[in-house]
Amino acid sequence: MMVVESGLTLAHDLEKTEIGKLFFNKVQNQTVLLTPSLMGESLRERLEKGGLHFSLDV
Amino acid sequence: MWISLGRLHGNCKYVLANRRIRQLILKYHEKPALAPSIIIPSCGLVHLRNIKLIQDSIPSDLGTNFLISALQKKYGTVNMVRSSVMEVKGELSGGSVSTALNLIEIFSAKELLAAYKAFALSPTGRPQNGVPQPPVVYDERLGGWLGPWLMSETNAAVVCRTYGLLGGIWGDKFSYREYLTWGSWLYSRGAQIGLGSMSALLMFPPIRWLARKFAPGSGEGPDEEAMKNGKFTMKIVADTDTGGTGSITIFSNCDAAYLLTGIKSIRFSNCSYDGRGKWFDFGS
Repeated sequence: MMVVESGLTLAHDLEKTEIGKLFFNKVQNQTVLLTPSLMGESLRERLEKGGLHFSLDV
Repeated sequence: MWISLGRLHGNCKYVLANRRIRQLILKYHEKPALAPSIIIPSCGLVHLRNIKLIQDSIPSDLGTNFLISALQKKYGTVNMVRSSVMEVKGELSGGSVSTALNLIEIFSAKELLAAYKAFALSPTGRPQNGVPQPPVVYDERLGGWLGPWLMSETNAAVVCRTYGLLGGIWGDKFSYREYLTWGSWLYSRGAQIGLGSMSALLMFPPIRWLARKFAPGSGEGPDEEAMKNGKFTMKIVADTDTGGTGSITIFSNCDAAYLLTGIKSIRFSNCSYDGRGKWFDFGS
């Protein structure tokens, strides 16, 4: 059940991103398979709190 | 293997699939759908309102996206992106072993090879001017000699799918390859030969029988102490057309495969869906 809830939450987060909105508007009655990085910051924030850290050097 | 987990509501169902991402794409991507569904291969696909997410390969995929976005703002188009697992400490998961063995039993070698090519999952295919990177290479920024590891091709396929989903905005010279820092040419080349040989040998049923007998089975894995003592560090580097370069390091002080998955699940589970479009977020 936890995996299913995780999935729903990921989809909820995706819905809030700009790229997510693009796909949500596009698909309507279609199905699309996306990758996690399209969720951007919202996913990174959850992962950081869970112990996976990102350090950027540009 | 597909297992239906039942229905959340009348218009929403769950399916558990076993790393059949390419098959899922061929069957479902941008195809008409009768009902919203959630698809989860291994720990992987999620669906709500006809959108599915490939959740596996998160460090490689998210790290690459962040790095390229930052580099493009500062320098312009990227060409070569390379990642390496510089430190990994954990124990083998019985579930992962079973998944790998089941894959070989279910699919033909031709289907598996097609699914694991770098741009096999990309909706736009391979970039026109991308130059493939060698399987063994020396890169001082990533700790010296680099060679393939178990997840190289799986993770690369997901990163390259992101490239395609974004419509190729990373540029037509984009290439990506994932490595492990082996430290010497001999070990790197040995890993390349060893992984290739292992894949070929596992095509034979007696070898798979032996693997099932001696490797951890489903439900078996590291104990609590081993998970707490685990480590994971990955570094991704990228070069741009104008000579700019940058890197991103992704790290964790616990077993990336087990404990992190659990932590991620808990973090994500602080939110509930009532099945009719209303969400309750309890914070993270």
